[in-house]
Order: sequence, then C-alpha cells, then structure tokens
Amino acid sequence: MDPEREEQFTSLFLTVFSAGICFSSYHIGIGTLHVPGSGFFPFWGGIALGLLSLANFLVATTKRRRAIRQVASSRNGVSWKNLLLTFAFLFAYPVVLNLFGFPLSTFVFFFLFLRVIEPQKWSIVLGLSAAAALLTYAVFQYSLKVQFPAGIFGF
Amino acid sequence: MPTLDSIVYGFSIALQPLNVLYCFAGVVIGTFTGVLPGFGPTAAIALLIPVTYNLSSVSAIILLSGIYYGSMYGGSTTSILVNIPGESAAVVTCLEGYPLAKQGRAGPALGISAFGSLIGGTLSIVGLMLMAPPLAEFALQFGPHEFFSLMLLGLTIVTYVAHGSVLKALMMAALGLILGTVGLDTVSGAPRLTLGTKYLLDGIPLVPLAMGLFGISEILQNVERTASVEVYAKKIRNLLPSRGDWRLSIWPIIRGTGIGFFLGFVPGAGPVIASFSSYALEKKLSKYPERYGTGVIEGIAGPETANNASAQSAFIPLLTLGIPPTPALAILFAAFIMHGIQPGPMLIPNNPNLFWAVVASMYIGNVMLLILNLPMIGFWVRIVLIPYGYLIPSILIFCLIGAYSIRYSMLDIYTMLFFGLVGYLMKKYRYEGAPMILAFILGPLMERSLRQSLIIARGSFMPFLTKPICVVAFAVTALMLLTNISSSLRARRPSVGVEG
Repeated sequence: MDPEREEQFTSLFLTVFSAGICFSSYHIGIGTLHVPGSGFFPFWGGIALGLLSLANFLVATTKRRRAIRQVASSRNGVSWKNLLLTFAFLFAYPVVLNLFGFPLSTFVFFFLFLRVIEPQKWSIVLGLSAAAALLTYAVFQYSLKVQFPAGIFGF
Repeated sequence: MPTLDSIVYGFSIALQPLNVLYCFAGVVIGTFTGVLPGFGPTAAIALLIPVTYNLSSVSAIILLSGIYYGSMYGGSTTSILVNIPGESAAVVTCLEGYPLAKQGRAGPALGISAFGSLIGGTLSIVGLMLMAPPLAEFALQFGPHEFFSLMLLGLTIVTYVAHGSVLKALMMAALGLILGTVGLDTVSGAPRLTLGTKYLLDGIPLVPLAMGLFGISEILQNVERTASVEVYAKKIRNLLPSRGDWRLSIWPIIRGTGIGFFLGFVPGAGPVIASFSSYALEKKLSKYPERYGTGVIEGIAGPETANNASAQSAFIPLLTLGIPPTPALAILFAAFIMHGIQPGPMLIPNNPNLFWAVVASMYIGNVMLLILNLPMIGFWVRIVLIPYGYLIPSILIFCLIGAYSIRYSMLDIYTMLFFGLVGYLMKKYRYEGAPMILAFILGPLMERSLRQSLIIARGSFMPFLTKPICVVAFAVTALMLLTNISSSLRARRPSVGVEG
C-alpha cells in the first residue's frame, strides 16, 4: 500500500469508527440540552472525530503529499520478523503463565527473546534467563507480594 | 500563604526513613528513565503505578513524582555524551552539549546542567509552594462552566504543541474523549460502548492503556531496529564548572528558571517547550549567536534549568485545579485517583499531609539528583552502554506483570497489548499519544462539567460567554485553534512535542 493510501486509509477507518460511535451513542440516548443523556458526550465526540477524520482525508488526498512521503521513509529498515515474534511472545506469555507459573514462563520468555530477537551466546542466554526469572520472581512474589497463577508444577 | 509550620510539617513526613527511601528510588528510576533513550517518564510512571498499590498514598506519590522530575536530570547525560536525547525535553541540550563533549568539556557541560537543574528545580518548588495554596483557594470558586472551559483550553494547548499535523492531534484528542466515556455512565448508570462485555463496565483501565500506548509501543519501536550507541567522552573530568562558566551561565539559569516556571504550569506546554523557549531566548540575547551549535555553555545552562523548573511548576495545575498539564502528569493524576485522592482545589484542605510531604520531598529529591548526576555520572554512562537487547525483555516482563497485578486479570494484559499495538501503529502513522491520553483522563471530568453546566443553565450556553474565566479560556482556545490551523495549512509550524 502506498503512503498516500495509508493516510487515506487511517482517516477513513477513523471516520467509520466515529460513525459507529455516533450510532451507538444515539441508541444509548443523547437526551436534550436541558437534560443531556448518557450518549450526549460520546455522540458529539464521535461527530468531532468524524469531521476531523474527513478533513484529514481531504488534506491527505489533496495537499500533504510531501509530508506523507516523509512518513513513508521512516518505515524503511523495519525488522518485521522481530516485531511479529515479539508480539507473538507477548500474547503467548499470559497463556504460558497460567499453565506453567511465573518462574518457568519468565525463563522461557527471556530465553526466546535473547536467543531469537537479540541473538546472544548460549551461555549468556541460559545464564541471563535463569537469573532474570529468579530475580523477578523474588521481587514480584516476595517483595511486592504479587500473587501469580500456580501452574501445573505448583509454583 | 504557606506557613513555616506547614513546611516543617511536610519535612517531618518526607524525612521519615521510608519516604526518604521512596524519594531516592523515584529519582534513581527517573534518572534511569531519562538516561535511556526512547523510554520516557510517562511509560515509567505507568509501569510503576501497580508497584505502589501496597504503599501509603504519600509514599506512592513521592516515588512517582520523583520519577517525573528525576527524568529531566537524566535526559541531559545522553544528550551531552552520546548526542541522543534520553528524554524529549533534553533534545535541545544535544545542540551544545555534544559539541562541548567533543571539545573535551563534557565535565563542565554535565556540571552546569546539574547545577542549573538544581537551581531551577529548587526555585520552582518555592514558587509551587507559594502559588499552589492561594490558587487552590481561588479555584474553589470555580463552577462546572469554568472547569469545562479550562480543560478544553488544556486539551487545545496539547494539540498546539504536538508534533506534526494539528488535525491528527485533534483527532486523537477526540478519540481520547470517546474512549474516556466507555463504561457505566456515572449519572444514569447506563452502560456505554462496552461491546456487551462485563470487563468494560468499569471503563477502559487507565494503567494498561497507558502502559500499552507509551511503554509497549516504545519497546516495539526499539525492537524493530537495533542501533549501536557510541559514547564520546568515556573519561569525564572537571565536573565542577569554572568561574568563567558560571559567569556565562548565571543569567541563562535565572532566565531559564523564570521561563520554565511559567511555561510549566501552562497546560500542554511542559518541559519540552520550556527548554526550546529558553534556548531560543539565550540565542537571541547572545552577543555571539553565530557560535550557537558549536558548543556554547549558556545554551545548556538555560534549557536544562528551564526543563527542571517547568517539571516542578507543572504540579501546580495538577494539584490545585486537577488538570494534568503533561501526559506523564496525566498518569500521575490516575495514581492519585487510585490511591483515593482527588487532585484539585480540595486536595490541599483535605490532604495537607500529602501536599506538604510531596513538596518537601521535591527539595530532598533535587539534592539527591545533584549527587546522583555528578559523582555518579560514570555509573549512568555505563547504563547507556548496556545492550538494549538485555533491557527490553526485562521492561516487557515488568509491563506484563504490572498490568496483571492491578486486578489479577489476564484481560488487563491483553488490553495493554492491544493498546501497545494501537500505540505502535499510531507512531508509525504519526498519530500522537499525548493528546489522546490527556483527553482520556480529562474526558470524564469534562463530560461531568459540561452536563452539570447545561443542567444548571437549563440547556443554555450563555454562561460560557458571560463568565470572565470562561470567556478568556474560550478566546484563547479559539485563537490557538485558528493560528494552529492557519499555520498548519501553510505547513510552517515548528515541530516540537510534549514529552511522552
């Protein structure tokens, strides 16, 4: 997708989003100026967002081509692999935390991060992961009294 | 006016060993945050709010406030030594700091920056102490009309100082206002925009939202590209500025204090604008403006003083009006609420212990920061050298557990990750988080004020046009929007932003 389209796309997305907000707010009840209803504020917020998004769409389409190209250049050199893997690890962490408890899931998180995202030597990966898991466990569990799910191993 | 008794009372609380410890922890974390490029005080405060749950409200606010003003000190270190601003308020310090470091004068540059920060910060606390109580008393006369007008002005100023497109900043403010309405309506009890889920009945939780928007998104940006850091001045000598340095710097420090103090309590302006304004003024007043950019010590003294002065005076609108002027203080506002304290005109009468203890802790914290930033400068340089790859998983674990520990809810983690993704995409498409988070926090207060105003005035908007404070606030708001839009159309607006 070219940069101009991206700009138009975000504006249109927010326009549609604001239309949804207005529709929901209308159904909640806008009320009157004398007695504003629950939907009053989000409705007018939605109107404002919609109008601004449309204005941005028009600006992006007609006047701001130069600025948009600058945006495009900031996207060069992005490591999509690192980004997607980080997100995958982050989304998987709560699931693993529930299953295996804090120390093990944190060890695995550090291990994967240091081995896959920022590749380090095996000794550093294992040592740092174990140290980080134990240290953070001590800090959160004993110092800050955070209660973690026990996991299948009971800790 | 504050009495000596109030100040002594504040010190008696702030000097309790545990509070001294939390103050120290706050300024250390703040300096660390300032030193780390790409990780601002907003994210740090959001990350540490869950940690403060088990603390008393006084200790928690002392700790979190320390992070905010501490980050202003740390930001200059990387600006001077690495030419990378650790914090956006220290961007301007790079211009003179790094050339000075290349000339072998990193020591005096760091020294004058730390002393300027101490002087600006301390004088600003005196101003805060003198101004806050009478302002809070004055604000007690404000009704919903005045509060709505002032909050609208605050939001407008935030969009005014935002990076890039004004339209996009206004869009984000509108989006923040909408997101702030999610959950049960406090007036009628009706659920709004909850998508039929129970989870959203309490509204979108602020801490996961802020952690995602500012913390996770920053980390994702750092993950996507790896950059090596080269420290220029590995051996730093002569940290104490010479008499000549002092002679050149003393007036910039005094002027920086004034600029920082007054810009600090303007909602939206904050330390970034203060430091840029101070630099511009010093260059304008200089006998040799052409030398600016080649390593002029006055160009560090003024801005570094200004950003610290503004970091302290920014607490004035927060503590007296309940209006957070910067995103970081918006998160601090949330911390107050979570500890059962409502910032605003009633804060000082209802919680004098908290107000005076926090003010006293700022004096203590500023002295701690001087010690941390001069004799211990070598330690912070080594922090800069830690590979980011080691820090990222640690920060992420802190985010994950921080979000989880608020309510022991896995859904809060997913909320944080969702807003992390949103924040990352916003950065990619140059939509700013600052107007959104401020609007998200101010939104419910604005809505309540607006609805109260309309009910009181039986649906009429006339009181907004007749009450003096409203008229002034609306006039300034309109003026700012008009100048903003016209300069945006001409595309010549300078790109400076509020700290994230």
